[in-house]
Amino acid sequence: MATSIFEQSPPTLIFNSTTIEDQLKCKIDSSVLTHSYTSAIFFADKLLNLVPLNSKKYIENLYILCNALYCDKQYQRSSFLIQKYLNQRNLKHQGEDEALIILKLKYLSAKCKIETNEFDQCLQILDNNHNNTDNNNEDGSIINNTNNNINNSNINDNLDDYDDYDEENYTGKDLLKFYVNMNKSNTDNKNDENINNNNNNSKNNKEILIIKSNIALIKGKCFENMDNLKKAKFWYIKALLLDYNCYEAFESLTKSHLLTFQEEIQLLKKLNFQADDIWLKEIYALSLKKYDNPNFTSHYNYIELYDNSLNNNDNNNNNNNSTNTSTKTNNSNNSLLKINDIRNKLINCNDILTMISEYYFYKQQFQESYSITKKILKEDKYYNNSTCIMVLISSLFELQLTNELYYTCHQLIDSFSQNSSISWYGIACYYQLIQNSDLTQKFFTKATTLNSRIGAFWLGFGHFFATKGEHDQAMAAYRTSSRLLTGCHLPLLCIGMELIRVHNLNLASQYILQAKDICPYDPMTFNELGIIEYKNSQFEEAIKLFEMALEISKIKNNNNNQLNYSFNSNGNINNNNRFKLNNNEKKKSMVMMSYMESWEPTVYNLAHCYRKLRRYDLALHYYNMSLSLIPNNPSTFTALGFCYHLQGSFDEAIDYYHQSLSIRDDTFTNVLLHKALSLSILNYD
Amino acid sequence: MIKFELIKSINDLNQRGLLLGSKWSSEQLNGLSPKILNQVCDPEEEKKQFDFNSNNIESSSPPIGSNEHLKYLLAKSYFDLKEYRRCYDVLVNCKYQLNIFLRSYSLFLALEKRKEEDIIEQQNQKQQQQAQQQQAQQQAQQQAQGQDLTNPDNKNSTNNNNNKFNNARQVLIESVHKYPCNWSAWCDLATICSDSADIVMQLSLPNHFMKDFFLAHFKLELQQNNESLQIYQSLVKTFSNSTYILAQTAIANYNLRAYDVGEEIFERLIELEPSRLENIDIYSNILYVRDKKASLSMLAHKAMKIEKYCPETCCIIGNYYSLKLEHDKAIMYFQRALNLNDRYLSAWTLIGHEFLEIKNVSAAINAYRKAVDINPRVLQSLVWSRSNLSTIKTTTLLFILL
Repeated sequence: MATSIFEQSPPTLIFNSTTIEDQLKCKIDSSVLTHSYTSAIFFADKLLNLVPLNSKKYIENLYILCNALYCDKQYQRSSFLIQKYLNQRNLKHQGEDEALIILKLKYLSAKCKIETNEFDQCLQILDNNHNNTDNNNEDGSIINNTNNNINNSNINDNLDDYDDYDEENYTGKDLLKFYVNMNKSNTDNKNDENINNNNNNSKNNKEILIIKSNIALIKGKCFENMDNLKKAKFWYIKALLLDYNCYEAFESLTKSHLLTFQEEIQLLKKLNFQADDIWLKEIYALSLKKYDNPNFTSHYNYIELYDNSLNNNDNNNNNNNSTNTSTKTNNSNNSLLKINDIRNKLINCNDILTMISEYYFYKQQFQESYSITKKILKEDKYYNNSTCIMVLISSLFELQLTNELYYTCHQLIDSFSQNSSISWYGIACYYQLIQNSDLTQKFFTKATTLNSRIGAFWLGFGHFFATKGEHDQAMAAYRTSSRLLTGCHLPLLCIGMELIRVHNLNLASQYILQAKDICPYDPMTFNELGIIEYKNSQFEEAIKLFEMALEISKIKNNNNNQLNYSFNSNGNINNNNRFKLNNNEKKKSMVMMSYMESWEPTVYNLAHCYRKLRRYDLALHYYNMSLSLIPNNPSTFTALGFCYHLQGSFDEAIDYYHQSLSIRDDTFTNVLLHKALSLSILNYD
Repeated sequence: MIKFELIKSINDLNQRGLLLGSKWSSEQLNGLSPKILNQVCDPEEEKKQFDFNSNNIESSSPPIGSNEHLKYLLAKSYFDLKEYRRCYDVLVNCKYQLNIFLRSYSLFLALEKRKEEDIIEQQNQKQQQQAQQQQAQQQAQQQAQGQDLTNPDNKNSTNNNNNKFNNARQVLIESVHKYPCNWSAWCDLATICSDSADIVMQLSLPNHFMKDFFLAHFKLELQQNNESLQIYQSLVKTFSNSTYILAQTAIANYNLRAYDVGEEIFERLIELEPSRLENIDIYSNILYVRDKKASLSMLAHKAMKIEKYCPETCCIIGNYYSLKLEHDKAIMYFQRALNLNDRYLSAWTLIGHEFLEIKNVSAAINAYRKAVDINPRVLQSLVWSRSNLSTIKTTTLLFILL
């Protein structure tokens, strides 16, 4: 006789509700841990229906369910459920714990909206948060701790109002000052609470702070995707000020160059790192812009460490690190050792190696940056760091290794099938390198269509148009990139260069001066300004500017050399430092060794200026210098010949003209040659 | 022990102009595992080793400063510049074994060179060549008093040409017994024994690490790949950094059609020696079979940069064009490889494949025939690679060749 399953159970089936709830919670936890989200959702759903609506437990269970839904990528459903609940519920009677969990729910709902790219709805949800708390305050229903929390969020509201009006009057400094005050008030309140309350509440406060920081981060993301970069900047900075551990905000700020270098340094100063997190501060410092002020030394720790590891010079390593850290931290010996340890271990971390390679790239040591990034990608084939891949592609481009670039791009396309816009950019760079302009254009369009928010792509596109001579399209591309890379001076500089090319000198100088304001330490800016002065026939000014450009490039180069000197005792580089004490002439000739060939145009321009001022000896000196930097350049030969021509030594002039013509046949040089020949014949009469 | 043997062999082989042998020895010396390199031998054993060999060597190489030595230096410099007949002329009436060997070897090389040049002209000078070679052989036999370690090697080379394989084999075995570290001799032994595998087992070979190398190389030629791999695995323990062994294992895997393993090993090989072109054409075969256009393209460009006029490079580039389905260009490059080296086996087979692709069956048959002439065992690999072809013509083609 078949018995049904249920007959065997005892007659009174009593389930203790709390034990069931606990069991379910355990099941859900374990399911989430093992990533079996379907089971988690199943259990969470049951859990939700076990408790009555409008009870405290209901909110918690709703949160658990929606969390599981988020993990399972059912974003629409999750945010729908949350919104339905929040709309039903009367939010006026908030208990102290409930405030936190309601905040969490809103945060979760906002995150879901971001995933489905509904940015305006996301902002609505997060703004509603503030509106409600505002109402609460007006009611005057004050419970001790939560009121303080709400007061904090009130101050946040005020800031929200601020970000809407009077944007033009702000510079980055003002914004940051404002935030500092807010942060101070936050910490004041926090201190009060900590004095008054027990542990539970301080934990809550921390959690609230983290959630608020994340909310600010989400807002920043929304604004960034809606193309409102000013507000995005505002919210990212706020997120960081609330919680400096929010690396995502920091990354968004630095990667897309939203801040200028000054703003970045200020931000870093304002963040109150605790003593245990100084290592984090160092890493943040390492991620800032590397092509700016050559005197900014605080990120040199890791780079020194890397240099030393290259040269296996361990003794120096320990000594120097300890001296550097002692100036920074005035703590006990224990923390010094810790930082050394951490640094030694983290130096092999891919992120830090990426930053070091970026540093070398901006120092124009492309071989080094290429070898580091190649090693990183070999070890971690799918390493998604866009900085790393960009440095790799750019180094290969600068080194003109077409074969490697070809193969690397193939590998990138294979590995990154989803976020592949960078791979297409790499392919565009490859075609540019072998000078196939149709395909270059095709792939640049593809890259920018796939991801139009990366300023670097537009910048590259602009360079391509500039090389082809298409002025309008180049300007459009540069303008787009300047809109996206707000803290970077390069787009403005490039716009200036294009304007110079079309002889619109006034406008060009305006743009370049703007670029100079943002980054006062780029030799290229001075070079361009010098060109403008030259075209305006202001040769003295031009000379000053070119010399300043060369000085800065020398400083940047020498900084590198000095590092090597103190930590390598590398023989030939010492020479530079020793000879500096001698007279100017020697200095100039020694200095010749330390210029890199990328600054040869500046030297060439300088020589032209001297020639125009009829100071032929200096002009010849600089022409010869430029010849030694880039040998066999027909323009330099012609220029040298012209110089001798003007001085009256026609034989040498003719010599140089012939040399130039043998490399490149040029009507200008031909004309000059004829003139020189006829004049020299006249002389022989 | 191994270390000293190898070092000595490098020196000796260099002196006698056996460059391939000395290159091989130096490669293996560098490939010794660091443990063995750092081993400190007992000084007594060292002495013994040196004494044993020096007895033989001293009688064979002229004392430094003597007339003979000066002649040797001059002759060697001519040899290095490939002026073989001049070298032969200098070394008239020499007594020391070293000089005698150098003389006979240079004559042999001169005649070989002439023979190859004349084959292109296709005149009826073959008879003359043979007559001259017999002369050389007689001379060598007269002068050689057989104590020199590598002199027998020379005799065998002349014997080769006259197809007196047994004779040559005996002579080579004798040479190898007396002086094991001469890789050129082992190589020649392998080529002589190529027709009959069993004979090798009957040969009495000295018990030496070189024997392992030889057996592994030989088995690889016979396509007994698994056994060859086993021997190489045991050799790898002493010669852990040897790129030669690495390359050979890669080739073995290629023969076994374990293409992914082979590819991995080749990648490692390229990492260790980026400018290496020897055996890399087999890597290009693997890439061709696995349809990896990007890697093959990169390899081809790199090979061009390294050495443009070298049969391996031409084969790689030929493979590249074949993968891109530009068969005419591929044929052109394989032809170039053959121009550079007439007896380059894989070029013949690959050009045969290409002719087949453009349906020029007669040319393909010709090419395969030439390949079989050089090495009859290539037929096996041909059968393997073309086994998936369904056309009757190709199967008949294979039967023709058999």
